[in-house]
Amino acid sequence: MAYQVGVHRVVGRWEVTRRTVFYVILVGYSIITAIPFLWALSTSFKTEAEASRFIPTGLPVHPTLSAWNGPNGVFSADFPHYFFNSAVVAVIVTVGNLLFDSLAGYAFARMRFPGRNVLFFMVLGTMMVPVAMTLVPVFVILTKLGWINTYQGLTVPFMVSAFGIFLMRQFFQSIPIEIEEAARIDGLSRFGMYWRLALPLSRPALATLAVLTFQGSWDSFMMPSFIASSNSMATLPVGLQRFSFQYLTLWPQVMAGSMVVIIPILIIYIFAQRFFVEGMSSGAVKG
Amino acid sequence: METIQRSESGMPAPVGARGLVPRMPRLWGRSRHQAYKREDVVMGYLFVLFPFVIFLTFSIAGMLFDFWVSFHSWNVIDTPVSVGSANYNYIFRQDPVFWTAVENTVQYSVIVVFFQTIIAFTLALIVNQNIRGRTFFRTTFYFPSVTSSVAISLLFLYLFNNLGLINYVLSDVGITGPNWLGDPAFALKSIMGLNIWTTTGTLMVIFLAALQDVPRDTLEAAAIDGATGAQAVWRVVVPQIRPAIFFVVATGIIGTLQVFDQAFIMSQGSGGPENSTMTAVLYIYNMAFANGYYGVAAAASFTLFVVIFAATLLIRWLLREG
Repeated sequence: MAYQVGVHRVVGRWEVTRRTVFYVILVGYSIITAIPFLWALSTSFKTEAEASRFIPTGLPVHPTLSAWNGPNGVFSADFPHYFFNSAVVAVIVTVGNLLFDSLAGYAFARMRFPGRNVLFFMVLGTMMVPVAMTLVPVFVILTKLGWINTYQGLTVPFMVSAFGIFLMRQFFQSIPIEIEEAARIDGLSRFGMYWRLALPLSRPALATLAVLTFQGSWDSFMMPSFIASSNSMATLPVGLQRFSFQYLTLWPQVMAGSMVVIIPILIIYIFAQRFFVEGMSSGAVKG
Repeated sequence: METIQRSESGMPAPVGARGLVPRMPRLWGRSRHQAYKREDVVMGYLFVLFPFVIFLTFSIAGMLFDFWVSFHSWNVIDTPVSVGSANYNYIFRQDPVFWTAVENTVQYSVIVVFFQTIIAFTLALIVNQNIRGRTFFRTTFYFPSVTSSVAISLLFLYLFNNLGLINYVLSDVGITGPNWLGDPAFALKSIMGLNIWTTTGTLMVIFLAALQDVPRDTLEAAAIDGATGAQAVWRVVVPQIRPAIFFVVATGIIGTLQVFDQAFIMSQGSGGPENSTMTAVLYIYNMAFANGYYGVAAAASFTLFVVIFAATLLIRWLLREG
């Protein structure tokens, strides 16, 4: 990256080389990023014999749907059921976070009550607790409640997040307070100000929170793996893990199952990528 | 401080202060000039009620409970029996697997954080130039980190298997690839590769956001002063994006010390071969759910908490101002 200022022609040639090297690196890294996905997609249309060959075929030589709808294929196994469970859980968790994180975020941003700041620091403090520390307690509490293998067990503990509360509080603080003072004169209650003023103004923050929460819940594995100990309650990652431990050598089926988990998030990502990126970098730089 | 406190109490803040100045609210007490409004107090507690029930039950009580369980022998069904420090004694003195897990996890954390930070920073520097297709590259690099860790691990299990694509490519250039996941010398390294591949894109986005706040003329001034590119990066860019570096390294260490999904999937839950992919959280998980020794699992998880807490303080100290 070093270059000398002064001799024009040298700078020009160096600049061309420099830019070429940059593009080679970026394109190369893009290929490294894309290949595992493309390889898995292609494999899901191969026969088991073709997928296990050492000298691989790029595109399937004899394309087949048997990994998808054949015997042991993902459509014939329990995958549609796992998909349903994942969708129910992710939607409930997302709606819960939108409601509860924004309520708490609004209270911390705008309302004054004794102990508010202590409570807010407690919220931030829970971010320091490693998930591994709550494995045993969550299992025990859910067992005592009789919530193992239920939708309540898979959703209620995850319906609020410290990150979400923090994100919403930051956003609510950026709304000019004068708007609320005008609304107060018009006779709007506190709940009215939250519901009819602050929430509609917070669509970008709510969209970010929704997208990140949905993705987190959809991909989540460790907690659901013991909360859903029976296959009938398994979410997609849990079901996929159990399927793969049982049929590891059925590569086309395992790859097809992986695609079932990845593709819905890919679709959301394509349409909402700016919310993913904004959420990540806002949490990073300010947090 | 004065302006911050005034706007906290609902008085109009000076233009420009709101939203830009990070507020450090006071822990106790109230502003002198304004009494609490009854509606705000009642509604405020109502608004935070549900989150606090959840946090108190699953996070805060959970943590204290975990600490308590770590001094008991318990299988969840029978009454817990107090055993003093026996669980800690077991993991520190009697079970060599715990030390293997700690060693693996620390090694994993150091190597993964080092490479993912360097690669992400380099990519961010490049993308931050006047590069065409910047959005495309950013979108592509970021994608792996939003996908399911289980699915990604299976993709890599297929790539890394003895007859997989990676060994085929190696054989093409005349190298006989190892049995990546079957060989204790390579299994953990394969998982490190997977993790670096997954996380680098996220970190690049964070670095990119931070780099865009570095004024362009600072860089140009450095170049005119005769600083070479590398020196300019080290002396001018790095100090300016110190908060982003702290965030990336700290979250990287906290995250990698808790690696579980990838090790669980790629070793079929066993942490093998020969415990070479046994990580701290996998040890805790198996102690609890495979063996039913909840007390031992709790002791191990409390130890992990202390390590993570210490690591965070250490990084903060290393990257302190000045």
